[in-house]
Amino acid sequence: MNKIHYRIFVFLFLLIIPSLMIFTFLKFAKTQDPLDNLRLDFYPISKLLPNYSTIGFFTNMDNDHETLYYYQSQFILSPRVLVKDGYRVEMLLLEDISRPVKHIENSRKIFSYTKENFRISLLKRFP
Amino acid sequence: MLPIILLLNFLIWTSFLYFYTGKYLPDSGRIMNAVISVNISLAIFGMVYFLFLIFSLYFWIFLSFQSTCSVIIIYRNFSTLIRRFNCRFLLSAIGIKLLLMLVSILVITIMFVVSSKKYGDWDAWAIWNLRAKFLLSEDFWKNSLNPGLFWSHPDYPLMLPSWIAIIWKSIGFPSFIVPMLLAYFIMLNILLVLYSSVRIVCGELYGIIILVFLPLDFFFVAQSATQYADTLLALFILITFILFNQNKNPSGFSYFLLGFFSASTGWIKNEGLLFFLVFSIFLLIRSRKERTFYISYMYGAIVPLLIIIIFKLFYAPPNDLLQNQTVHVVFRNLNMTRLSITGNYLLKIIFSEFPILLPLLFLVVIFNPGYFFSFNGLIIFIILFAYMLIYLCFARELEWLLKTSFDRLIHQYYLSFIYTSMISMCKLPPFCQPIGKIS
Repeated sequence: MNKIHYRIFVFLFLLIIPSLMIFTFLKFAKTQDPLDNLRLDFYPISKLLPNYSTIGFFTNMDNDHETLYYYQSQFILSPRVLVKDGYRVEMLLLEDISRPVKHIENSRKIFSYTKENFRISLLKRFP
Repeated sequence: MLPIILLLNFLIWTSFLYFYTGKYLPDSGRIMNAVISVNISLAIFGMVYFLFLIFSLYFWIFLSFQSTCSVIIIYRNFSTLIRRFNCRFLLSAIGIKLLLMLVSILVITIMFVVSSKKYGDWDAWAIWNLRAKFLLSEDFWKNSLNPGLFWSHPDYPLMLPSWIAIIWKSIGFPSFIVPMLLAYFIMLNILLVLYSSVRIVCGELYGIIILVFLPLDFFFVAQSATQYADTLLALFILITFILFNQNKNPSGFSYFLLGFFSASTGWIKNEGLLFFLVFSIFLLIRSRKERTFYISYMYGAIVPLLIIIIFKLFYAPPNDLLQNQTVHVVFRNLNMTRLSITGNYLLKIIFSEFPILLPLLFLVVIFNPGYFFSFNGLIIFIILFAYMLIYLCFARELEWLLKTSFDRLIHQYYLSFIYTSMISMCKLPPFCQPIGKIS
C-alpha cells in the first residue's frame, strides 16, 4: 500500500466512524423509550407545576412498578421534587386502572389523564 | 450560537493546555498530552460551573467568564499558538499505525453502538442525568439535595453531571445525545491514552495488543455505554498512574498535574476520595527526599479539593452507606458468612466479566510477582481490599449491593491494572518478558 492508499483508507474511516454515531442517534431519536412515553403523558401536568414545587407521589401499583414509575417521574419532572407517599399541597397519583382504586383523603383532582390501563392524576390538598 | 461559543472556548483552552503540556511533559507523547489537555479543560469547566451555581449566576455569565479567559489566552499566547500550531504532523502520522488505530476505534464504536441504550442504564438516568437536570437551573439546583431524594445519592460529586448540564444548557434542552456522546468520548479517551502510553513505555507490539483486545472486551465497552461516572473515574485514575509512571524526568509541573488529576477523582465519585488519600500517602512516602515535588502535587490538588470541601461541607448530606452506623453494627457485620459471600462474588466477577484480568494476573504472577509489592500494585490492591472491607462492614443488604455495584468498582481499577502490570512486565530484562520488546 502506498501513501495515497493509506490516505484513502484513513479518509474512509474518518467518514464511517462519525456516521455510525450519527445513525445511532437518529435511530434512538425515532424509537420511543418508556421515558419518552411518560414524558408525553406528563406534558400537561408539568405545565401546571412550578419548578420550585415539592410534590407528593402516590400509586396503586405493586412495589417494583411503584419504584420504577417514581424514579422515572422524578427524572421527567425535575427540578421539581417528588416525595414518595408524601402529603403535600400538590400530589401526583399514578394508577393502574385494573387494580383497586387508591383514595387520598382531603384532596381533589385538578387534572386527570387516562391512556389504556394507566391513569395520571394531579391532586390538590384542601386548605 | 451558545454551543459554538462553548466549543470555541473548549478548543482554545484545550489547545493552550496542549502546547503547555507538550512543552513540559515531553515524555508523554502527543495523544497523552491531548487527552490530558481535554480532560483538564472539561474538569475546570465543570468546577467553575459548580461555583457559578453556588452564587446563582446565570449561564451567560459563565460563558462570558470562559470567553474572557479565552481572549486573555489568545492575547497572551497568540504568537506561540500560531507558531506551534502545525498540522503537518497529522499528515505525516498517516500510515499503518494510524490505520490500525482507526480500525480499533471503528470496532469499539460498533461495540458501543450495540450495547448502548437511549438513556443509559438505570443509575445513568436515575442518578447522574437526573443530577444534571437539576444543575440546569441556577435557582433550583439545590432541590437535588432534598432529603426526599436520598435514593438518588445527593452526596455524590458533580463532575459528570456538570459536564452534561453545561452542554444541555448551551443547546437549550436536555437531549439524550449528550450523556451518550460523553460516554463514548470518555471510552475513546481511555482506548487512546492506554494505547499511546503502553506503546511509549513498552513498544509497538504491546500497543497493538491494547488496540486489538480492549475494543473486543465487551464488558468494558458495555460498562462505558451505561453512562455511569465509573468510566470517567477509571479514566482519571488511569491518567494519574500514567503521569506518575511515564515521566522519566519528573518536574514540578508533572507533579502539579498529578495532584490535579488524583484530587479530581474525588469530584467524580466518592470512591475517588479514597484513591486520592491512598495515592497521596504512598506518594508522600515515595517522594520524602523530593519535598518540592510533593508540594507541587499538593498545589495541583488544591482547587479540586476546595470544590469537594465546599460541596461536602455546605451542601451534600451524609453518605447513606456510612450514615447511622455504630461500632457495634460494624463489628457484627464482620463475620465469615459475609466474608465468603464477598469473596465468592469477587471470584465470580473476575472469571465472568473481566476477560483480560485473569490472563494478565497469571502473567504477572509468573513473570513479575514483585509487581504486587510495587508502588502501583500496592495502591491498586490496597484500594480493592478497602472496598471489600467497606462492603463487609457497612453494607446493609450485602448481596444486593455486591450484585449492583461491585463489578463497577473493579472496572474503576481494571484499566490501571492493565497499564501498570504491562509496564511492569515490559521493564523486565528481555528473557523475562512474556513477549519480546519491539520498538
